[in-house]
Amino acid sequence: MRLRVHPKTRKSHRRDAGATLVSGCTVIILLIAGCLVGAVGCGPQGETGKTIRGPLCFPSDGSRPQVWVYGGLQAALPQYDATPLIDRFLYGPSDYGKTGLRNPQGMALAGGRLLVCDQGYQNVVAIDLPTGKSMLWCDADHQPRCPVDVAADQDGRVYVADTTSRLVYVYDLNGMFIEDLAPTREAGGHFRPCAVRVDRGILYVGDLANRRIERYSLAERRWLEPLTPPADRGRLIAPTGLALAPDGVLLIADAVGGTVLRVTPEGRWLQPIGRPGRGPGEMVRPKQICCTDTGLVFVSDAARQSVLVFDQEGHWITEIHERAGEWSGWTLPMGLLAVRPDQLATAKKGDQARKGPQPSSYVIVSDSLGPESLTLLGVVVQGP
Amino acid sequence: MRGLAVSGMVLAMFVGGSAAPDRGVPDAARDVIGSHTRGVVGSVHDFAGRGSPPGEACRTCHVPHIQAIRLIAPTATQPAGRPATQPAYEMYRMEGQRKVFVPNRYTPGPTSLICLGCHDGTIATSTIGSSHAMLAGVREGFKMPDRAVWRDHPIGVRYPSDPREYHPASFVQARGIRLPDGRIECVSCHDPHNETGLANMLVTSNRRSGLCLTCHIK
Repeated sequence: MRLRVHPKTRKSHRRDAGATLVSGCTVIILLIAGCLVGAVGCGPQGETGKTIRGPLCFPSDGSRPQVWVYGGLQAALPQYDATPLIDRFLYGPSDYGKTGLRNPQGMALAGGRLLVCDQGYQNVVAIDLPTGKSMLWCDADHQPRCPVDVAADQDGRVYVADTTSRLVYVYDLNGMFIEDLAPTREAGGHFRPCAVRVDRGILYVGDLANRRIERYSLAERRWLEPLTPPADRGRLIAPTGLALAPDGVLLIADAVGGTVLRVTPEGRWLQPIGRPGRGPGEMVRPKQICCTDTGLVFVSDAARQSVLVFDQEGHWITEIHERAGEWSGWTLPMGLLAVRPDQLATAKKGDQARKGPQPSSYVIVSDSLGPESLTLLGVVVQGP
Repeated sequence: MRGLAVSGMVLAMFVGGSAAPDRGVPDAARDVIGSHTRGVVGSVHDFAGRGSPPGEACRTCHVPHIQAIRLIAPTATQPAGRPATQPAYEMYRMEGQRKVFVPNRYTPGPTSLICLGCHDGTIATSTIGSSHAMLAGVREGFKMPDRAVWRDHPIGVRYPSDPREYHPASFVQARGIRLPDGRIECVSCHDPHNETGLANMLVTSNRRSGLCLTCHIK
């Protein structure tokens, strides 16, 4: 059956088609304009405001070494945004497709990704440094319950300390589960891993339950004799932070003892760094620790809400904390990660460092509760 | 008053030495110390081992109190904004810990930050992501959606003034609920010194929802 179209109706169809064409062109033009607006960042932004006014230098007297606070790391990374085009046009850039950090703690670099333990997600968040894209990283079938620290070895194995499951989970670079480790599983004893580091084929684990440092030989696949300080070096109570100095000395942050213990690869315990207290160079709740290539030791103190810096001999250099009117500081600083400049090649650090000298290394600080999840610090050792 | 008594005891312990830890301490102060230490010594908050010096159990949380008796001489490298001398005494706050309140947002106060310094899953059980699920209550800048159901009790929130659903703040405080700066914090429900000896260090028994009904009208 053939339908007859009334001439008026036919005319109306032509007019409708024309209107559709015009409106279609308008939409396309608006879409392009919207994309341009979105690209230059004129749309609504995230709720996180600016927490720092330009890079800040510590100490402020110009002496070296000095540490520059650049502000949030994620602002320096490429801005990954998976917001659909129409949504970006209508509402501007959003957090769609992003995995914003909630309560970040320990960190590690592995396979071009920054791995961040996150209590809020009860997972490890992987931030792809070249693209800025972030994702929940752990194998869904073997997800940690309370990940607090992470470390990676040269063979592409990643170790995650879980204080609730009381296990060290081992994953590959893509987050696929390999195995879990615990020294006292067979004996039914207590084990509470709260810090992990890998060095020269040895996995070091801070064991809060037994107040010692467990050691696991990756080659022999067996647990070695644990490290416990002698009586004249003080007690080890809460080894929540581990780091390796360039000379192989293992640094242990004791969060309850308020000090940093040191032990050489030969097992000789050195004079501790710092002491409990609130004065310069003293610590109240030192949670984690890292060491730069030049031997500077960074210690995050959750109670002082600051990061303390020492030289390799343990002499206090400076304390990085809020500065009235310029920077709101950290709320509960936790994780520390020292990175080389080439490992942060994609970060727009040049823009941020323009006002200061070029750093020889960087340190990333995670804040478990503050407005800025990750803070980028630049370390300047030499220069005018 | 209690704070003065505690600081007096701490001073006495360190000035007088360990041989006579309570020398010169009034009976009232000794009673306060006794009630404080009863719930701490031997508990999970007592990290001191056998043979530890007096005050070791307290020092886990109260490092500043002990250090407060020492004067710190200003140095050339003294960080800007830091006092040259130790402040005398603060009951709930550690020097340097700042209020991070943000209007209309959920943020923990300084009293809760002391707890969260350990109860973040590292040293002690996590109150952020697992056991208390107070993620929304502690993350600065997090806005709780309307009509959302809390999985647990928030902290860092101002005590509500709605008389239809909540008892007045004065009524609540008279029954032992602490509201630092008018806000609900960890110490509102939990007593870190565990003076009552109740499970979960509650400030009062929750039998028949007694603790809940101190604030909530149901």
